[in-house]
Amino acid sequence: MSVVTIERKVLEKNDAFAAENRRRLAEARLFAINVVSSPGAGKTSLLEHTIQRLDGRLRISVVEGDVQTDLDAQRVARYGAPVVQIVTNGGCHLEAKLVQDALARLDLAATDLLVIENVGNLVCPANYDLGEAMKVVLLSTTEGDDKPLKYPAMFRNASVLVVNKIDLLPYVPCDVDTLVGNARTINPALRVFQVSCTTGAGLDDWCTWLAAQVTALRA
Amino acid sequence: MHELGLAQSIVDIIRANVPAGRAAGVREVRLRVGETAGVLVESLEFCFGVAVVGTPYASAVLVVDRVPGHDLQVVSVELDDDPAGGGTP
Repeated sequence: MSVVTIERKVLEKNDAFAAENRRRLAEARLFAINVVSSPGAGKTSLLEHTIQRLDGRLRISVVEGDVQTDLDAQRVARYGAPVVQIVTNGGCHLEAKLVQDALARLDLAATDLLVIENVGNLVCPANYDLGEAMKVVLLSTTEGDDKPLKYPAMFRNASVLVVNKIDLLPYVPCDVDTLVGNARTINPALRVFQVSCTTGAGLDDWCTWLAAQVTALRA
Repeated sequence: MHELGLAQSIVDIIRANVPAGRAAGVREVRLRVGETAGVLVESLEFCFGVAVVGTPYASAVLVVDRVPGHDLQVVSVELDDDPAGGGTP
Protein backbone atom coordinates (compact mmCIF):
# COMPACT_ATOMS: atom_id res chain seq x y z
CA MET A 1 0.00 0.00 0.00
CA SER A 2 1.17 3.53 -0.67
CA VAL A 3 -0.49 6.85 0.01
CA VAL A 4 -0.75 9.75 -2.42
CA THR A 5 -1.27 13.05 -0.64
CA ILE A 6 -3.79 15.24 -2.46
CA GLU A 7 -5.05 18.03 -0.13
CA ARG A 8 -7.43 19.63 -2.62
CA LYS A 9 -10.72 21.36 -1.87
CA VAL A 10 -13.66 19.40 -3.25
CA LEU A 11 -15.16 22.66 -4.50
CA GLU A 12 -11.90 23.94 -6.02
CA LYS A 13 -13.32 23.95 -9.54
CA ASN A 14 -16.34 26.00 -8.46
CA ASP A 15 -14.07 28.34 -6.50
CA ALA A 16 -11.84 28.88 -9.55
CA PHE A 17 -14.85 29.84 -11.69
CA ALA A 18 -16.09 32.10 -8.87
CA ALA A 19 -12.71 33.87 -8.71
CA GLU A 20 -12.84 34.40 -12.47
CA ASN A 21 -16.40 35.80 -12.19
CA ARG A 22 -15.28 38.10 -9.37
CA ARG A 23 -12.40 39.40 -11.50
CA ARG A 24 -14.75 40.11 -14.42
CA LEU A 25 -17.30 41.87 -12.21
CA ALA A 26 -14.54 43.99 -10.64
CA GLU A 27 -13.30 44.92 -14.10
CA ALA A 28 -16.80 46.06 -15.03
CA ARG A 29 -16.98 47.89 -11.66
CA LEU A 30 -20.43 46.61 -10.86
CA PHE A 31 -21.90 45.50 -7.56
CA ALA A 32 -23.15 41.91 -7.55
CA ILE A 33 -25.41 40.29 -4.97
CA ASN A 34 -26.39 36.63 -4.63
CA VAL A 35 -29.95 36.55 -3.28
CA VAL A 36 -30.82 33.36 -1.39
CA SER A 37 -33.92 32.18 0.48
CA SER A 38 -36.35 29.31 0.76
CA PRO A 39 -38.95 29.00 -2.04
CA GLY A 40 -41.71 31.60 -1.76
CA ALA A 41 -39.96 34.02 0.60
CA GLY A 42 -40.26 36.75 -2.03
CA LYS A 43 -36.94 36.96 -3.89
CA THR A 44 -38.56 37.77 -7.22
CA SER A 45 -41.05 40.19 -5.65
CA LEU A 46 -38.21 42.04 -3.93
CA LEU A 47 -36.40 42.17 -7.25
CA GLU A 48 -39.44 43.53 -9.11
CA HIS A 49 -39.90 46.31 -6.55
CA THR A 50 -36.18 47.07 -6.46
CA ILE A 51 -36.00 47.44 -10.25
CA GLN A 52 -39.04 49.71 -10.28
CA ARG A 53 -37.80 51.94 -7.47
CA LEU A 54 -34.27 52.27 -8.85
CA ASP A 55 -35.43 52.85 -12.44
CA GLY A 56 -33.42 55.73 -13.89
CA ARG A 57 -30.92 55.63 -10.99
CA LEU A 58 -29.28 52.20 -11.39
CA ARG A 59 -28.97 49.94 -14.41
CA ILE A 60 -29.86 46.49 -13.05
CA SER A 61 -29.19 43.19 -14.80
CA VAL A 62 -30.49 39.90 -13.48
CA VAL A 63 -29.48 36.24 -13.49
CA GLU A 64 -32.42 34.02 -12.55
CA GLY A 65 -31.87 30.52 -11.20
CA ASP A 66 -34.71 28.02 -11.09
CA VAL A 67 -35.13 24.27 -11.12
CA GLN A 68 -37.68 24.57 -13.93
CA THR A 69 -39.38 27.23 -16.09
CA ASP A 70 -38.47 30.80 -17.03
CA LEU A 71 -41.47 32.24 -15.18
CA ASP A 72 -39.25 34.42 -12.98
CA ALA A 73 -37.29 35.75 -15.96
CA GLN A 74 -40.62 36.68 -17.58
CA ARG A 75 -41.69 38.55 -14.43
CA VAL A 76 -38.43 40.49 -14.26
CA ALA A 77 -38.30 41.22 -18.00
CA ARG A 78 -41.63 43.06 -17.68
CA TYR A 79 -39.78 45.80 -15.82
CA GLY A 80 -37.26 46.24 -18.64
CA ALA A 81 -34.22 44.73 -16.91
CA PRO A 82 -31.90 42.52 -19.00
CA VAL A 83 -32.32 39.00 -17.62
CA VAL A 84 -30.79 35.59 -18.25
CA GLN A 85 -32.59 32.52 -16.95
CA ILE A 86 -30.59 29.51 -15.76
CA VAL A 87 -32.67 26.32 -15.50
CA THR A 88 -30.85 23.80 -13.30
CA ASN A 89 -33.08 20.83 -14.23
CA GLY A 90 -33.24 19.56 -10.68
CA GLY A 91 -30.01 21.10 -9.41
CA CYS A 92 -30.61 22.55 -5.93
CA HIS A 93 -28.29 25.58 -6.24
CA LEU A 94 -26.45 27.73 -8.77
CA GLU A 95 -22.78 27.03 -9.43
CA ALA A 96 -20.15 29.54 -10.53
CA LYS A 97 -19.73 28.01 -14.01
CA LEU A 98 -23.46 28.43 -14.73
CA VAL A 99 -23.22 32.07 -13.68
CA GLN A 100 -20.14 32.56 -15.86
CA ASP A 101 -22.09 31.34 -18.89
CA ALA A 102 -24.94 33.69 -17.98
CA LEU A 103 -22.59 36.67 -17.58
CA ALA A 104 -21.40 36.13 -21.17
CA ARG A 105 -24.95 36.89 -22.30
CA LEU A 106 -25.25 40.18 -20.38
CA ASP A 107 -23.79 43.61 -21.18
CA LEU A 108 -21.74 44.11 -18.01
CA ALA A 109 -20.46 47.50 -19.20
CA ALA A 110 -24.08 48.69 -19.19
CA THR A 111 -24.82 47.33 -15.71
CA ASP A 112 -24.44 49.01 -12.31
CA LEU A 113 -26.01 46.32 -10.17
CA LEU A 114 -26.11 42.59 -10.91
CA VAL A 115 -28.67 40.57 -9.00
CA ILE A 116 -28.23 36.79 -9.04
CA GLU A 117 -31.44 35.19 -7.81
CA ASN A 118 -30.44 31.74 -6.59
CA VAL A 119 -32.60 28.62 -6.57
CA GLY A 120 -35.09 28.71 -3.66
CA ASN A 121 -33.28 26.64 -1.03
CA LEU A 122 -32.00 27.65 2.38
CA VAL A 123 -29.36 24.88 2.47
CA CYS A 124 -27.16 24.11 -0.54
CA PRO A 125 -26.57 27.60 -2.03
CA ALA A 126 -24.75 28.59 1.19
CA ASN A 127 -21.68 26.61 0.17
CA TYR A 128 -21.29 27.76 -3.43
CA ASP A 129 -19.41 30.97 -4.10
CA LEU A 130 -20.60 32.51 -7.37
CA GLY A 131 -18.18 35.45 -7.41
CA GLU A 132 -20.67 37.88 -5.86
CA ALA A 133 -19.73 40.80 -3.59
CA MET A 134 -22.07 39.45 -0.93
CA LYS A 135 -24.92 37.08 -0.22
CA VAL A 136 -28.26 38.60 0.72
CA VAL A 137 -30.51 36.19 2.59
CA LEU A 138 -34.24 36.81 2.50
CA LEU A 139 -36.49 35.38 5.19
CA SER A 140 -40.24 35.96 5.35
CA THR A 141 -42.22 36.25 8.56
CA THR A 142 -44.45 33.32 7.58
CA GLU A 143 -41.48 30.96 7.79
CA GLY A 144 -41.05 31.50 11.53
CA ASP A 145 -38.47 33.23 13.72
CA ASP A 146 -36.48 30.04 14.43
CA LYS A 147 -35.18 29.56 10.89
CA PRO A 148 -31.77 31.26 11.35
CA LEU A 149 -30.97 28.68 14.06
CA LYS A 150 -32.15 25.79 11.89
CA TYR A 151 -30.25 26.88 8.75
CA PRO A 152 -27.16 28.52 10.26
CA ALA A 153 -24.76 28.19 7.29
CA MET A 154 -26.86 30.48 5.13
CA PHE A 155 -27.02 33.20 7.79
CA ARG A 156 -23.32 32.82 8.62
CA ASN A 157 -22.29 33.27 4.98
CA ALA A 158 -24.63 36.18 4.23
CA SER A 159 -23.83 39.85 4.83
CA VAL A 160 -27.39 41.14 4.68
CA LEU A 161 -30.71 39.82 6.00
CA VAL A 162 -33.93 41.11 4.45
CA VAL A 163 -37.00 40.21 6.51
CA ASN A 164 -39.94 40.19 4.09
CA LYS A 165 -43.75 40.16 4.60
CA ILE A 166 -43.65 42.30 7.75
CA ASP A 167 -47.23 43.35 6.90
CA LEU A 168 -48.27 39.81 7.96
CA LEU A 169 -46.75 40.07 11.46
CA PRO A 170 -50.16 40.56 13.16
CA TYR A 171 -51.37 37.27 11.70
CA VAL A 172 -48.43 34.89 12.08
CA PRO A 173 -46.64 33.45 15.13
CA CYS A 174 -43.37 35.20 14.33
CA ASP A 175 -41.61 37.71 16.55
CA VAL A 176 -39.38 39.86 14.39
CA ASP A 177 -37.04 40.78 17.28
CA THR A 178 -36.56 37.08 18.04
CA LEU A 179 -35.95 36.40 14.35
CA VAL A 180 -33.30 39.12 14.07
CA GLY A 181 -31.79 38.12 17.43
CA ASN A 182 -31.49 34.51 16.27
CA ALA A 183 -29.86 35.62 13.02
CA ARG A 184 -27.35 37.81 14.88
CA THR A 185 -26.52 34.95 17.25
CA ILE A 186 -25.22 33.17 14.16
CA ASN A 187 -23.74 36.27 12.51
CA PRO A 188 -23.47 39.43 14.65
CA ALA A 189 -22.35 41.51 11.64
CA LEU A 190 -25.56 40.97 9.64
CA ARG A 191 -27.12 44.16 8.27
CA VAL A 192 -30.91 43.87 8.55
CA PHE A 193 -33.73 45.39 6.52
CA GLN A 194 -37.41 44.83 7.35
CA VAL A 195 -39.65 45.14 4.31
CA SER A 196 -43.02 44.35 2.85
CA CYS A 197 -43.25 43.95 -0.90
CA THR A 198 -47.03 44.24 -0.54
CA THR A 199 -47.22 47.59 1.30
CA GLY A 200 -43.82 48.92 0.20
CA ALA A 201 -42.66 49.40 3.79
CA GLY A 202 -38.88 49.49 4.20
CA LEU A 203 -38.14 49.26 0.48
CA ASP A 204 -36.78 52.80 0.25
CA ASP A 205 -34.13 52.03 2.89
CA TRP A 206 -33.15 48.87 1.07
CA CYS A 207 -32.88 50.64 -2.31
CA THR A 208 -30.96 53.58 -0.83
CA TRP A 209 -28.47 51.16 0.68
CA LEU A 210 -28.07 49.28 -2.63
CA ALA A 211 -27.45 52.53 -4.54
CA ALA A 212 -24.88 53.54 -1.92
CA GLN A 213 -22.98 50.26 -2.44
CA VAL A 214 -22.70 50.99 -6.17
CA THR A 215 -21.57 54.57 -5.48
CA ALA A 216 -18.97 53.40 -2.95
CA LEU A 217 -17.62 50.85 -5.41
CA ARG A 218 -17.05 53.54 -8.02
CA ALA A 219 -15.75 56.29 -5.75
CA MET B 1 -28.95 16.32 -4.13
CA HIS B 2 -25.81 18.42 -3.99
CA GLU B 3 -23.86 15.49 -2.51
CA LEU B 4 -23.96 13.84 -5.95
CA GLY B 5 -22.21 16.85 -7.46
CA LEU B 6 -19.65 16.76 -4.65
CA ALA B 7 -19.07 13.03 -5.22
CA GLN B 8 -18.49 13.72 -8.92
CA SER B 9 -15.97 16.46 -8.00
CA ILE B 10 -14.15 14.00 -5.72
CA VAL B 11 -13.88 11.51 -8.60
CA ASP B 12 -12.52 14.31 -10.85
CA ILE B 13 -9.91 15.23 -8.23
CA ILE B 14 -8.80 11.57 -7.90
CA ARG B 15 -8.52 11.31 -11.67
CA ALA B 16 -6.39 14.46 -11.80
CA ASN B 17 -4.03 13.30 -9.04
CA VAL B 18 -3.57 9.56 -9.50
CA PRO B 19 -1.53 8.43 -12.52
CA ALA B 20 -3.84 6.62 -14.97
CA GLY B 21 -1.68 3.49 -14.77
CA ARG B 22 -2.37 3.17 -11.05
CA ALA B 23 -6.05 4.09 -11.13
CA ALA B 24 -7.25 0.53 -10.56
CA GLY B 25 -5.17 0.40 -7.38
CA VAL B 26 -7.16 3.08 -5.53
CA ARG B 27 -8.57 1.41 -2.42
CA GLU B 28 -9.33 4.24 -0.05
CA VAL B 29 -10.10 7.93 -0.48
CA ARG B 30 -9.64 10.01 2.66
CA LEU B 31 -11.80 13.11 3.05
CA ARG B 32 -11.83 15.91 5.60
CA VAL B 33 -15.37 17.16 6.20
CA GLY B 34 -16.05 20.13 8.45
CA GLU B 35 -19.01 20.01 10.84
CA THR B 36 -20.41 23.14 9.14
CA ALA B 37 -19.51 22.24 5.55
CA GLY B 38 -23.17 21.54 4.80
CA VAL B 39 -22.52 17.93 3.88
CA LEU B 40 -24.54 14.91 4.95
CA VAL B 41 -21.79 12.27 5.17
CA GLU B 42 -24.11 9.26 4.74
CA SER B 43 -25.52 10.85 1.60
CA LEU B 44 -22.04 11.64 0.29
CA GLU B 45 -20.93 8.04 0.86
CA PHE B 46 -23.97 6.78 -1.01
CA CYS B 47 -23.40 9.23 -3.87
CA PHE B 48 -19.70 8.36 -4.06
CA GLY B 49 -20.70 4.72 -4.56
CA VAL B 50 -22.84 5.85 -7.49
CA ALA B 51 -20.22 8.23 -8.93
CA VAL B 52 -17.51 5.52 -9.15
CA VAL B 53 -19.64 3.04 -11.11
CA GLY B 54 -17.93 2.45 -14.44
CA THR B 55 -14.68 4.12 -13.31
CA PRO B 56 -11.40 2.42 -12.32
CA TYR B 57 -12.20 3.47 -8.73
CA ALA B 58 -15.28 1.25 -8.42
CA SER B 59 -13.82 -0.65 -5.46
CA ALA B 60 -12.60 2.47 -3.62
CA VAL B 61 -13.99 3.26 -0.17
CA LEU B 62 -14.57 6.74 1.20
CA VAL B 63 -13.06 7.38 4.65
CA VAL B 64 -14.29 10.55 6.32
CA ASP B 65 -12.54 12.51 9.08
CA ARG B 66 -14.96 14.93 10.75
CA VAL B 67 -13.31 18.19 11.83
CA PRO B 68 -14.60 21.53 13.16
CA GLY B 69 -15.16 24.32 10.64
CA HIS B 70 -16.14 24.50 6.95
CA ASP B 71 -13.37 22.35 5.42
CA LEU B 72 -14.28 20.01 2.59
CA GLN B 73 -11.10 18.48 1.23
CA VAL B 74 -9.76 15.39 -0.43
CA VAL B 75 -6.80 14.58 1.82
CA SER B 76 -5.19 11.52 0.22
CA VAL B 77 -5.76 8.24 -1.53
CA GLU B 78 -4.39 4.86 -0.58
CA LEU B 79 -3.18 2.69 -3.44
CA ASP B 80 -2.49 -1.01 -3.85
CA ASP B 81 1.07 -1.05 -5.13
CA ASP B 82 0.40 -4.02 -7.36
CA PRO B 83 -3.33 -4.41 -7.86
CA ALA B 84 -4.40 -7.78 -9.15
CA GLY B 85 -4.83 -7.51 -12.87
CA GLY B 86 -4.07 -3.85 -12.37
CA GLY B 87 -2.15 -1.29 -14.26
CA THR B 88 -4.71 -0.79 -16.98
CA PRO B 89 -6.47 2.56 -16.83
